[in-house]
Amino acid sequence: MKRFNIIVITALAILTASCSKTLNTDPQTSISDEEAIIDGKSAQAALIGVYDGLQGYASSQIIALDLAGDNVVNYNNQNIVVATKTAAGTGGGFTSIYTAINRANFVITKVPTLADALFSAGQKNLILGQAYFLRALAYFDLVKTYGGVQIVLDPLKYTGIKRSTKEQTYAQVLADLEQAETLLPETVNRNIANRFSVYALKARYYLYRDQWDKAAEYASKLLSNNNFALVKPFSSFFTGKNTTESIFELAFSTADKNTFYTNWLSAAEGGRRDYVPARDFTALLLDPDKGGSRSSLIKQLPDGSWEVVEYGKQDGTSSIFILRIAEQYLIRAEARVKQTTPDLNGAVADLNAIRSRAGVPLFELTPATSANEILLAIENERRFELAFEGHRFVDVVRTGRAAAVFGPYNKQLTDQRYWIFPIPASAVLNDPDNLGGENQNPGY
Amino acid sequence: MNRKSAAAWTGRLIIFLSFILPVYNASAQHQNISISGTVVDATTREPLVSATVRLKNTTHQVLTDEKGGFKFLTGQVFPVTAIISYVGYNAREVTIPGEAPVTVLLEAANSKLSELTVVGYTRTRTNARNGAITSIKAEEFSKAPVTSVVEKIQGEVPGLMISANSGVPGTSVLVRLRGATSITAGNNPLYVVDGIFMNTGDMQNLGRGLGGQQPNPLAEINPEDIASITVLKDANATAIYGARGANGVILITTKRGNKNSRTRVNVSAQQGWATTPKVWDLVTGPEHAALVNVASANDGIPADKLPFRPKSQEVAGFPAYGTPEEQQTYDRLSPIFRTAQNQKYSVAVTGGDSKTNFYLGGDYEKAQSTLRLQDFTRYSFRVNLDHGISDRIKVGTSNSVSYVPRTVVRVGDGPAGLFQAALHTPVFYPLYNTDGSYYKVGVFDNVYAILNNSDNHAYALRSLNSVFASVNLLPGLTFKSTFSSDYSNYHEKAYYNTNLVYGQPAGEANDVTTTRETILAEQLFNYNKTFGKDHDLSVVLGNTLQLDWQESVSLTGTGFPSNQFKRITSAAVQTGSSSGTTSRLVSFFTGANYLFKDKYSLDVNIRADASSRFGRDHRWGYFPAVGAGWNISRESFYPSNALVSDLKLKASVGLTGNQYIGDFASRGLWNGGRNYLDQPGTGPNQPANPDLKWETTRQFNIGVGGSLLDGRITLEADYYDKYTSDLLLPAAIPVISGYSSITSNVGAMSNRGVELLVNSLNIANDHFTWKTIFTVSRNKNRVEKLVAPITDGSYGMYRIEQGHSLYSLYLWNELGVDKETGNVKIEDISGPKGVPDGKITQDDKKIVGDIWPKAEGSLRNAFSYKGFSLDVNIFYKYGNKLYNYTRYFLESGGTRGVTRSIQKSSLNYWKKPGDEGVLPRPTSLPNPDGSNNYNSATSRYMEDASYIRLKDVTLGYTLPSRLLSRWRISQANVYVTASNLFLITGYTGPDPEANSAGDTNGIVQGLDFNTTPQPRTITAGIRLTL
Repeated sequence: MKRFNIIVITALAILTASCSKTLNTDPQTSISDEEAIIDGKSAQAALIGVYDGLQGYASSQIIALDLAGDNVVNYNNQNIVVATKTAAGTGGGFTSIYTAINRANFVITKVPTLADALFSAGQKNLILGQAYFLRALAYFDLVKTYGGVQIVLDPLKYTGIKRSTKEQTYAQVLADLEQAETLLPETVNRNIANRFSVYALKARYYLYRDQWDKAAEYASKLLSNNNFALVKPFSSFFTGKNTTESIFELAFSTADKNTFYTNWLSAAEGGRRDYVPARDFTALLLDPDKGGSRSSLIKQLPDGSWEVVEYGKQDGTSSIFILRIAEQYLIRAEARVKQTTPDLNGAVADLNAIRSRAGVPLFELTPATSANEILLAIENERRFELAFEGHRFVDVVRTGRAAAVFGPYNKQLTDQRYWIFPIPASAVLNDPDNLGGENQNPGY
Repeated sequence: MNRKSAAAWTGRLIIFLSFILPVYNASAQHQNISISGTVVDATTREPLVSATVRLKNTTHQVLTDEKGGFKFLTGQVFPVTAIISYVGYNAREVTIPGEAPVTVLLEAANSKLSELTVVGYTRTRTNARNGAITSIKAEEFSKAPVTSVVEKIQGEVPGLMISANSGVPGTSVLVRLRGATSITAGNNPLYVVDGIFMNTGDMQNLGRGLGGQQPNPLAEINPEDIASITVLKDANATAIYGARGANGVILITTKRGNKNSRTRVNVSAQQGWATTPKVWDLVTGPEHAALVNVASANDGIPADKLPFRPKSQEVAGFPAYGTPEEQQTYDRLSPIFRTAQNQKYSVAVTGGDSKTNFYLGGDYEKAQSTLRLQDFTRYSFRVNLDHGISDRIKVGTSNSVSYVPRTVVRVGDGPAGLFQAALHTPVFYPLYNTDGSYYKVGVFDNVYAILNNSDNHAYALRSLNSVFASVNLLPGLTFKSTFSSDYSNYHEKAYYNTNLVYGQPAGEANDVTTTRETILAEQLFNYNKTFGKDHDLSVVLGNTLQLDWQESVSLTGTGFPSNQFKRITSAAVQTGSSSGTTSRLVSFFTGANYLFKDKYSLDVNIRADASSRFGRDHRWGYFPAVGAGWNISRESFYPSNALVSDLKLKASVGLTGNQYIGDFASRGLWNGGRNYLDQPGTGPNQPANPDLKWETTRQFNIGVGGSLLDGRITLEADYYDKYTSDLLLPAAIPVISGYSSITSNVGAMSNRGVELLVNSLNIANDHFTWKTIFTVSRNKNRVEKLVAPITDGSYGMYRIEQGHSLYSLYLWNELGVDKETGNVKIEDISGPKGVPDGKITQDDKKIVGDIWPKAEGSLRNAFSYKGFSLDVNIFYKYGNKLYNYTRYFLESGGTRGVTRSIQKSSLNYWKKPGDEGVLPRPTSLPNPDGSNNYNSATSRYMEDASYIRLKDVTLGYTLPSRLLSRWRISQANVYVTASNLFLITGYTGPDPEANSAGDTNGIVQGLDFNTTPQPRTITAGIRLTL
C-alpha cells in the first residue's frame, strides 16, 4: 500500500508541475496582433484585408443612401417612398467603414517601419498608395453621409478624438488622395486602386467641393484615355465583368461572394428581396424616353412587380461599381455648366454621350436653354444612369434641392438638418469623447 | 425475445441461483428450522427488496426477494433473533417465536440522514450537509413522452426553471437555475453525468441554419438509464465546482446493479400519438384584399392604383391583383402539421454477485414532431460495471454511446423557413403556377416545395465514458482516481435542390461536421471519521485536469448538374473550410465537514481553477464557501410533541465562477479569410484584454427543512441572494476604433428568490395511497451595474439596462387607440431635452416588462389503489411575458400589403370615430406625432404568458403476480399517459411555452416567432420485469 501512495503522490506532483505549460494554448484560426504585419507578404495580406473591409461596407452604404432617396423602397413598406431617418434605424455603413479605416491605418503606420531587405521601396509604395486611396474613399463615404466625423489615423488610438468639421474631414480625404496620387502608377487594373482611380475619385471630390475647374480637369484625364469608354448595351457593364466602363470595380468571386443579390432578388432566385425599386421610379425607368435602356436594371416578376438586377448574379459574383466612366461624363457635364467660364456645349455633349448610350432622345441645346435646365437634366440623368449605386440622395442634397425633391414624400426632408444621416446611436453612446451627445448630428 | 425463450432463460437463471443457495445450506446445522416473513416500509407498507436479514450471533444472512419476502433454514432453535437492515432505514432486531411467517416493519424516517452519501466529490452524512440540494428519483420523472431528462423534471425542483423552446422533440430547452447570472458567458447549469463533465454547448454549425432552432444535447442520454438527478443550487454545494458552478450543477446518476442481487431484465415498450391543439387563425383572401385596400387608401394611394383592383387596370409599377371579391383562399398552414407518432422500446439488465455488479441498458426511441419534416430518433447503449478486486480496491466504469439521427427543417426565422412559407405567405396567392411549378411569393418559399423537397439531416454521436479505481488506504480514507471522456460528433447534411429558394440557381449542398472532446483526469481523497460519540468529520481533497478540443469541417457545393445529384462531389463549385479551438482547465479543491452531536454542522470548501481562456495575470480563480446547519429538533429543549417533528436550519455563503467565454477572448488577434480577388488577406479581429478574468457570483442561502405529522409531510424552503460581479461583456468601445467591442469584466447582476417544496403523504393504508408534491419558486433578477444599456442587434425590442431585469422588453408603451382619429396613443416620455415634447421618437421607448415569471412550479398528485396508479402532474407559470413577434408581423392592419398574411384579429380595426376596443386605423404612414399605428415595436405585442398546463396524466395498472408467475414474469405494468390535455392561458398565440431565441442568447429570451406549439399526446405502454 505504501508503494501505491508514493505513486499517487508522484502523479499529483507531475500534474501540478505541468500546469503552467498546460495552460498556454495558442489559437489555431488567428494570430497574435504583434505578428500581423512583419514583412512584404504579410503587408500585402493586410492590404488585401483593407479591400475586404471595403467589400464589407460598400453594399450597406449603397442601400442606406438609396433608401434615403426616392429610387428604392423597402419591400415590406412600399408606400413609404422616402424613409424617416432615426438614430436607432439602419444608419448605413458607419461602423464597418471604420473597420476598413482601422485596417488601412495598420498598413499605413506599419509598412514604413518594416526593415525587410526583400521588401523594396517600390513594393512599399504600391501597398501604401492603395491603403491611402482606400482610406480616402472611406472618409469620403463618411463625410458625404454623416458630415464631419472623428478622424482616426493611428490604429491603436481611438480615445480623446474630437469630432472634426466637414471641412477638416474633406481636407483629410484630399490629403490621402494626394499621397495616393504620388505613390501609385498609371496602370490599368480595374479591380485595385491605381492612379486612374485616384483621378476619378478626385473628380468626384472636386465636384462635391464646388471646385468645378479641377473637377473637369480630373474627369478629362479619364475621358481622354481610351482605356475607359462607355459600353453598349448599357447592361453589359453589370452583366459582364471589368468592362472598359469600369475605373474601379470592386470584384467578387464564387469563393468570396457578394451577397448583395439576396437583398434584391426574389425568393425563387435565392434572394430575400428586401428592397424594390420605388413604384414611381419604376414607371420612369420603363419610360423609353427617360429610362431607355436603363430599364435593363430592373426585371418584371410573374406577379407583376419589379426587382433590381444590377447585382443579380446568383453565384455572388456581381461587382460593385465604385467608379465608372459614365459618372465622369456627368461630373464633367455639371462642372462645365458651373465653372467660371461655362462651357454649355461641352456640358451637353457629355450629357448626350450618356443619353445616346441609353437610347433616349438627346438633349437639345438652344440659345434659350438656361444653365439650370441643363443642370436639372444632368440631375435626372444621374438618377437613371447611377440608379442603384448610392448616388441619388447625395446628389440631390449636394445641389441643395432635397427639400424640393424629397420634401413632398417626407416632411422631415424640408429641414436641412436631416440632409445628413444620424450617427448610429450605438456609435454615439459608446464613445467616451461624446459626453453630452455632441457627436450626434443636430435633430437626431 | 419471444415468450418461450424468455421462460427458458428465466428457468436457467433459477437453476443457476439454486446452485448458489445450497452453498449456504451446506454450512448450516443438521437440525434445521424454517424461518420466513416479509420486510415492508413501516409507512407505505411497500415491500423492501434486497433488505438484509441476518441471524444474530451468526454470519448467516439472506436478502429479501422482489416482494420483500425472505425464507431460510437454520440450525438455530426458536426463538431466534434476526437483525433486519436496509439502506436508508433503521435496522431492527426482531424475535421470531416460531415458523409462522412474520411481517417486519422498517422505519425510514430520519435514518437515511445519518448514513454516508456521496454527492459529486463529497462524501458525508446527509444530515451534515448544509447546501441547498434537491434530488429527484426516476420514479418521480414525468411519464410524458419527452426525449430528454430535463423535460421530465420540469417544475419538480423549485428554483430550476425549465421551459421547452418548442414542441419539436429533441430541440433545445431553456434551463435556468436560480435566475441568470451572466449576459454573455452562458447561463446553462453544469451537467455532470456519473462524474463526467458533459459538454452541452450548441454544436450546430450548418451555414443555412434552422431559423433559431437548436438541438438539445441532453436528449442524447436515454432517460430510462437515469436513476436520479441531484440539483446543487447554492454556493456551499457548487463552490467545489469553482469556475463552472455559478449557474448551478446538475448531477445525473445512472443506474447501477446491486451486489448480491438476482439478475433482472426490464423490458418496456410504448407507442404514442401526438396532435397540435391550436394554431394561428388567418383571414380569407377577400378579407385580406379588402383590408390592404383600406390601408393603401389611408396611405394616399389613389383608387386607380390600389393593389386590389381589376386586373385590366394595369399601370407600370403598380401591379393589379384583381378585385377583393375575386380573391381565392389557399390553406398553407394545415399541410405542415400531422398526427405524429412516437415509439420507444428499451431493455435493461441489472444484477450482481458479491464482487461484481452491472447494468446494461439500451433503447430505441423515435419521436416525430407534429410539425412535418422533423423527426428525432435515438439509439442508446449503456454499460455500467463495478468490481471489487479485494475488500479495499474497487474498479468500475460507466459508458454510454448514443446515436441520434434527426430530420430537421428550417422553421421560424428567415425567408426560406417552413413557417414563413406556411404562415406568412398571403392566403390569396395560388399554390402552383399554371405550368404546375411552385408559385412563390416575395421573399418566401412555397410550402409544398419545402414539404416535397426538404433534405436536411443532423446526426449526433455521443460517447460518455469513464473508468475509476478506488482504494481504501486507511479506515475511512479512500482514494479514487477517475479518467473520463465526453466525445461528441455532430454531422449536419443539407441539400437544396432547384425547387427550393436556397437551391438557386443550380442546387446547393452543405456538409458540416463538428467534433468535440473533453478529457478529464480526476484524483480524489475522501476521509470520514467519527471521533468518540459526538464528532463526525469528513474531508475531501482533489485535483482535476481537463482538456477540451473542438474541430469543425464544413463543405459547400453549388451548381449541380441536375436534381438527381445530391452530394458535393458532383457540384461545380466546391468550397471547404476547417477550424479548431482548444482550452485547458487545471483545478485543485478541498473541503471539510464537521458534525457535532448530530445537531450542529459546519463545512468549508474551496476550489482553485486556472483556465487558459483568461489573461495571463488572472489565470487563477479561488472559490471558497462555508455553510452551517443546526438541527433544532434534536435539542433537549425542543418539545417532543411539537407539530414539526424534525426541523433543521441551514445557512451558507460562498463564491462561484463562470468561465464560458471564447477560448482566446483575452488576446489581441488577427484573422485570415479577409480575402479579395481570391488573394488571402488578414485583418484585426479583436483587441487584447490581458486583464480578463472570471465572472464571480457570491451567493448567500438560508434554508429550513422539517417534517410534520410523523414525517408524512416534509417541507423544504430556501431563500437565496446571488450577486454576480465582473460580468463578462463585450464592452462597447468607440466604433471609430474599428472594433465594436472588447471582452471585459464590467457590470454586475443579482438574483434573489425563494423556493418551497412540500411533499405530503395524504393517505396511506393497505390499499390506497395518495401523495402530493407541490413546488413553487420565484426569482427576481436585476442588472445592478451596466455602463450603458445594451439593445439587441437583431431584435431591438430587447434591452439590458441597469436597474432592470435581464431579458427586458424595451418598447413604446401603448396607451390605446384615440377613438376620434383612430391613431395609436403612445406614452410620451421624453424628448431631446429630456422632457416630453409631443413627439413620439426613440426617446419615448422604455422597459415595459420582462420575461421572468412571478412564480412557477408544479403540483403533482399520485394515487394508488391495489394495482392501479394514477399520476396527475400540473405545471404552472405566473406573471411572465412573451413578445408575440408572429402577431407583430401578422396583425398588421393590411399595411404589409401583398407581402405577408394577416391574422384574423386584424379585422377588428378602427373604422369610424367613436370605435373603441379596436386596433388602430390601418396605415403605414406615421401619425402627426411621429408614432406608427402598425409595424412598430409597441407594448401591444408584449403579452402576459401565464399558464396552467395539465402536463401529464398517467393511469397505470400492475398485473397481479399470480397471473404472471406462470409466465415467469415477476412484474408487469401497463399504462396510458396523456400529456397537455388542457392549457389555461390568456396568451393569444398557440402556446405560451414558446421561445425562438437560442438558449445561449444573453439578451433575447421569451420571443415567440413561429414556434411549434407543444403537442397533445396519448401514449400507451407496457413494462415487464423478468
